[in-house]
Amino acid sequence: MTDLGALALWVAALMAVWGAALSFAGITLGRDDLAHSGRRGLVACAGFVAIATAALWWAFLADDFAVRQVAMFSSVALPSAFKLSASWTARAGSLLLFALAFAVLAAGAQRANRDGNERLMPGVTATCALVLVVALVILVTTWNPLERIETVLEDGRGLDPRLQGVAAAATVPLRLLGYAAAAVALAFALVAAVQRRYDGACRRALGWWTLIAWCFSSASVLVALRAAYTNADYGTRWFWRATDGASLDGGAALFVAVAAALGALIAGTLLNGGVRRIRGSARYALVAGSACLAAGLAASALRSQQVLEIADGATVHLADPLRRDWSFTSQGASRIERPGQLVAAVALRAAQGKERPQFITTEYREYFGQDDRERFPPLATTGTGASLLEDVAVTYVSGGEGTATLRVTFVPLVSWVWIGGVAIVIGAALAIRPAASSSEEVA
Amino acid sequence: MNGLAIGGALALAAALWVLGPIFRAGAAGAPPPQGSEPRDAEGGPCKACGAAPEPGAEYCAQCGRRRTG
Repeated sequence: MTDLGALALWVAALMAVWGAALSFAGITLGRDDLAHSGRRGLVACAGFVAIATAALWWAFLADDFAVRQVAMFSSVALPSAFKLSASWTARAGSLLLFALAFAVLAAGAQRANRDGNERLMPGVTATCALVLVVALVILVTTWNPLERIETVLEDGRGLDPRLQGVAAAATVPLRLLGYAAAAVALAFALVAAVQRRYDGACRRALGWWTLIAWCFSSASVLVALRAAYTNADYGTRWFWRATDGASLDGGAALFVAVAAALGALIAGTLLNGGVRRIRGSARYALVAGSACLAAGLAASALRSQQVLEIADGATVHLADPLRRDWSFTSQGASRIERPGQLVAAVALRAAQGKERPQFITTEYREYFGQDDRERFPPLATTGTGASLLEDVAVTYVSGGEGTATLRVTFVPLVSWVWIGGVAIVIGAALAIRPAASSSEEVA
Repeated sequence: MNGLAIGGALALAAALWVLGPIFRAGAAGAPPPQGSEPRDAEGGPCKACGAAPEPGAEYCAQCGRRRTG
C-alpha cells in the first residue's frame, strides 16, 4: 500500500506540473482544449494526492513501522483515532494534508465556477497547480511522508501525550483547510487583478472562498486556544500557551492562522462594501460575542489557585473568588496500568451549596515503552467541572500512602470566552457572506 | 508489487483522461483560437462578419468564428 502511495505522490506531482503548464499554454495560445486538459490535470492531481494520503493513513492504522513517520509518531498502544491524527503531526504529514485539502478545494472551485467565471478559470487553475507543484515537489524530494526505513521496529515511539486530545487533533486539519481556502481565494484575487476583471461572478467567488477561509481559520484558532487552555493546567497566561508546544509547529502556525482569519475577515468585509454595510444580524452577533469575550477575559483575571492535601474519603472546604463555599470529598486514589502507561488517579466529589455535585477526576500519567524505558515526560491531566458562572479545575500534584496533593483552580466566567468566540466567528461569517443575487451586490 | 501495478494502471488511465480534450480537438481539426475571436455573449449579430444570430450556436455558421464565451 505504501508503494502505491509513493507512486501516487510522484504521479500527483506530474499531474500538477501538467495542470500548470497546459493551463498557461491554454491562456497564451488561446486554446480551449489545452486549458481543459490542464483543468483535468488538476482534478487528477487531487485524486492521486488522495490516494497517497489514504496510503499514509493505512500505514498508521496498520502499524506499519517500516514507514519512518509511523515509527516516529505512532505506537501499538496508541488509540486508532489518534493514530490518524499522528499522521499529520509532523511537517511531512501536515504538508501532505495541506496538499490534499488544497487540491480538493481547487478542483471544487473548477467545478463551481465553470459557468460564471470561465474566462478566469484557466488562470486560477494554473496558479493553484503551481502551488501544488511546489508542495508536491517538496514532498517527493525532501519530506516524503511514506519514506521507509531499513530496520523494521516492533513498536513506534508514540505520539506526544499533549497531542492526544480531540482539540489538539482537530486543530491541524482545520488550520490547513483554512490555509487552503485562503490560497484559493488568493488565486482568484491574483488572476482577477492580472486580467482586470472584477465583475459580479468574480466578486461572488472571491467572497465565498474568503468566507470558507474565515470559517476554517477562525475555528482552528478557537480550537487551538481551547486545547492550550485544557493543557495549561489552568495556570496564568494560558492564552499564550497556544503559541508554544501544544502542537509541533507551535506559535508560527497559530499566528499564520490568525493572520489568515483576519485577512479573510478584512477582505470579506471590503468585498461586501465595508464595515458600514454589515448586516443587522451579523452586527448583533459581533457585539454580543465581543461583550461575552471581554467579560470572560476580564473575569478570568480573578482566578484563584489553592493547593490542598486530602486523605482518601476526607472532605476539604475551599472558598472560590465569588466567596462561595465548595466542598471536595476524595473518592480515593488509585493506581492503574494501561498499555504503555502507569497512572495514578484521584476522583473528587465537588459540591457548591445546593447545586448538584460533580465528580472530577485527575490523573498523573507516566509513559513507558515496551523496553520499560520512559517514552515521554510524565503528564498530569486536569479534571474540570464547568458551568456558566465558573470552571473548577483539579490537577494532581503528588501522592502518598492514602493521601493526595491536588491543585484546585477556580476560573470565573471562562465559559463566556468560548461562547463569545463562537458568536464572533458566526457573526463575522454572516457579515462577510456574499450577497445572494447580483441586485444586492455592492458596486 | 501489487501496489505499483495498481498505481501504474491508475496513472495510465488518468493520463488518457487528461489528454482526452487534446485528442478530441485534434480529431475534430484545429479549434479556433480562444480570446482572439470577437465574442457575442448577448446573442446579437456576429461581431466579425455581421451574420444574424443563431440561438445556441457556439460558432458562426458564416465565418466559423466563436460566437459565445
